Amino acid sequence: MKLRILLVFTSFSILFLFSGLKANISPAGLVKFTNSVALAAKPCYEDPRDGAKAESSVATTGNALREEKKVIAACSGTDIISRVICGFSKLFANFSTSGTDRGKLTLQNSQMPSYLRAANSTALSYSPSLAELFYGDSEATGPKALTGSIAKMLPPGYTEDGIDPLSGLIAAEGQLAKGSVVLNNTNKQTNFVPGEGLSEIVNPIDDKLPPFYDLEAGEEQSPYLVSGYFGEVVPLYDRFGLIKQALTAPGEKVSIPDPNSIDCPTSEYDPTVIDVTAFGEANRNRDVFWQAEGDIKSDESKSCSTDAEGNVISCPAEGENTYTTGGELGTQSQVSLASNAWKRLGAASNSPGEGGVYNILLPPDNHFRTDEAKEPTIPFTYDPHLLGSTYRSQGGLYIADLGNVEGASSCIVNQLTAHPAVATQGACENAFEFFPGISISCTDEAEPLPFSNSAGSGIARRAWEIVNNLYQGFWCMWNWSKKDYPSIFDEALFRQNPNPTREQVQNDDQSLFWCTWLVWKVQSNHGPSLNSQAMKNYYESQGRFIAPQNATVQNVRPGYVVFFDVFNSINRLDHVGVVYSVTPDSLTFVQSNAGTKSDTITFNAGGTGVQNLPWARVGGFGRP
Amino acid sequence: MKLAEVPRRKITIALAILGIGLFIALLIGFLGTRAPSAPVVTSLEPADGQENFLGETPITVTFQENLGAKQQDLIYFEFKPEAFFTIRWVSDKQVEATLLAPLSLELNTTYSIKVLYNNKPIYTSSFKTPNLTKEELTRDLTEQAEGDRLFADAQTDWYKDNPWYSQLPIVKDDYTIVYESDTSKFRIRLTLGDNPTGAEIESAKNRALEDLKTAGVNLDKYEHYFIDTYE
Repeated sequence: MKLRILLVFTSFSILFLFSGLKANISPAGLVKFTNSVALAAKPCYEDPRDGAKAESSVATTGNALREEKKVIAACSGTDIISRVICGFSKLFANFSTSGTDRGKLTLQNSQMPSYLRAANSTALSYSPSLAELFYGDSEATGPKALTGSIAKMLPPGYTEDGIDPLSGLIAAEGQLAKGSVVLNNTNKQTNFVPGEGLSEIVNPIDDKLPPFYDLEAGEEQSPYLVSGYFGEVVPLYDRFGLIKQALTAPGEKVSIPDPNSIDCPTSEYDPTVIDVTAFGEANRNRDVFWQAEGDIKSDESKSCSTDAEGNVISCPAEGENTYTTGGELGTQSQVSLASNAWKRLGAASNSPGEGGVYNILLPPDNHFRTDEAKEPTIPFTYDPHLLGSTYRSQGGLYIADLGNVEGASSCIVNQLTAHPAVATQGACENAFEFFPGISISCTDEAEPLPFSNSAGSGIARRAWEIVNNLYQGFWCMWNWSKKDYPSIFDEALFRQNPNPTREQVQNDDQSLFWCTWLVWKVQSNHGPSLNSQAMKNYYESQGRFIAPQNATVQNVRPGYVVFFDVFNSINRLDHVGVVYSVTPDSLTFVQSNAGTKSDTITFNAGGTGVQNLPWARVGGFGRP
Repeated sequence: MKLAEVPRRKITIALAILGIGLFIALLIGFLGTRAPSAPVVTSLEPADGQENFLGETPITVTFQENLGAKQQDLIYFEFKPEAFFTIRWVSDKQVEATLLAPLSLELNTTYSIKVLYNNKPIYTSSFKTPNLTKEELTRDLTEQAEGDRLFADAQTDWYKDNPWYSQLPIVKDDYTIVYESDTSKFRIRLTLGDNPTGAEIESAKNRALEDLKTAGVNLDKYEHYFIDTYE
């Protein structure tokens, strides 16, 4: 009997021991398992750039720009079960997102030459009629014979070191040549001539200059192996077309007008031909790597390998001949002239009128915003403020960060370069839409409020702190609470397009620090809505609203909410701020998502009722 | 010696020793691996019962004392209804749970938050999302997007056309200048103190007008008046 009891006791002990061990493991394991499952079901992506959201990184550019997605399955468990589950969830998430870190530029052989030629013409080309007019010879080349968008941006007859831009560019940019492709190794350019083999190419105009490619001859006969930089394969002045094509959404046709003909219809190209992708390399370089590839017809005479005696060793089978090349869309050209021209494209100087093509397109005192200070990559000289005092000798130019580059490109290609009769109406207007005309300049700094924080009201003091720390975000308005509430800002969208359409931001309460967020963050009794009209209605319903005609120096206090209705707008309140201080003649309020961080409202001379702002009616006050 | 030949008494003693040994080992193991005592939560943000919370800030929990790595591993959150989040230890005393997709929170819903330690609740709190529908929220933001833009554009235009406006109000010891936009007049209130002389008053008025000119105001275009209680 005792033996049986002991056996049972021992069995229970052993069983309990195992169950106890399981009990010890289970809680933590369960926690981590739950965590892992949640992340696997809904992976958390983090843009490699400072943790910005990645979901909207392709907002405006279709397939043109994709961000590398980095999965951060935040499984912190150290036990084997958690690590295995985490590993699987990461694997799954990575697999399902399949982010690319290399762009691909595929140039279809049949389309590339004609497309590039069209882009050439629209950007920079010689005009026979101008050549005839100025040089008496329709085939003459020279600065006065130039036409195209770049030429229009340059002073008449502009030369650099005695060379007109097109000659310089042609000479500078190694190209396909004489029916084959130049194997461009910086200085020497080598031509593969069918039946003759490799030979060095000489510039027929000046043998001291690098050679160039004859597009006419090369169109049908191009490609062999190409290597070199983008700028050596695709001329600088073609990049207008490339930008336009790269920014065209999938399914849409790229349409490029012929600038030389009044009746010439636009030519359409398939944007999927070119797929330029941007990457999040660790060094954040913004160079656009690319690869060109395509099938060519097999031609044994071109590509068979031979021995020293010229005997054919092997020949590729039909369809085997493909060409590939790669490089980077770097703007650090090997040739200064091309480099300078690229500066002109983006921006070049801090002097008015010399700010680059895009800036020159803008009305006076306006500019396209870039974020060169945040993501320095492509070397060029640029002052983002154009008229500002800060001169930056180096900047970064990134297509997606060039502000409304799509609009600018459209403006250039469709309006400024096309014949007036076929120019797309409104192309430039679209480029400028959503960009406030400014006397208030954009800055990358959180400009401090012009008064110190000495309010007696805690709400007012907190409002001052938040507003004081605001940065300019979308549309150069103060709507980026980078320090206090960084999650309330769609940084990924901002990096792509700092001037988005309303539709791009209106569906997300956290796309930017709306004016009403300030009220939310400084007091709790504001009602459920992020809408200023609804907020005012809430204060009214709570008996905490002061109509503007009843506002006095005594009953409006720091910390109160002030509502505004812009003149000639739809009859609803448009904006809110927070009263910071009150004096016998005026009150000062602070605000977010506006052109300034603070402003003042004047009391009527008798102290009862307030004057409106010059541009907006004061809609009343809300007591916290 | 065969087992059957071993006296039952010895078997009993051996089994008893084995059993007691196992029991002691179990006790030691159980007590030895038991989780440390539960940490004390001193605060949780947002505050319990907070309304109109959209998950725009992390849920922040502060503990009374620093937690070691093992203790931190045992801390977890439970949201009801379910919410996706990540955990980040800000310090050994403070942990943040960041909701992964704040907009995925159900609107007009009370969420309970349980801070779990070793899978047992040690703190409970709640917050309520705004009493809106998704459609209402979107509509509100659509209007707000338009409203803020209108305000900023109109403001920018005004500042651009009237650069002097950014200089106002002008507040000096002797006077304050504000702009009455409803009447398009400048109001200059003299604040000279007690019993100023006529010359002092005149000097203050002249300086005020000079300030307006310096700010870029065209005094031929805009009227002004003084509030002068000394006359």
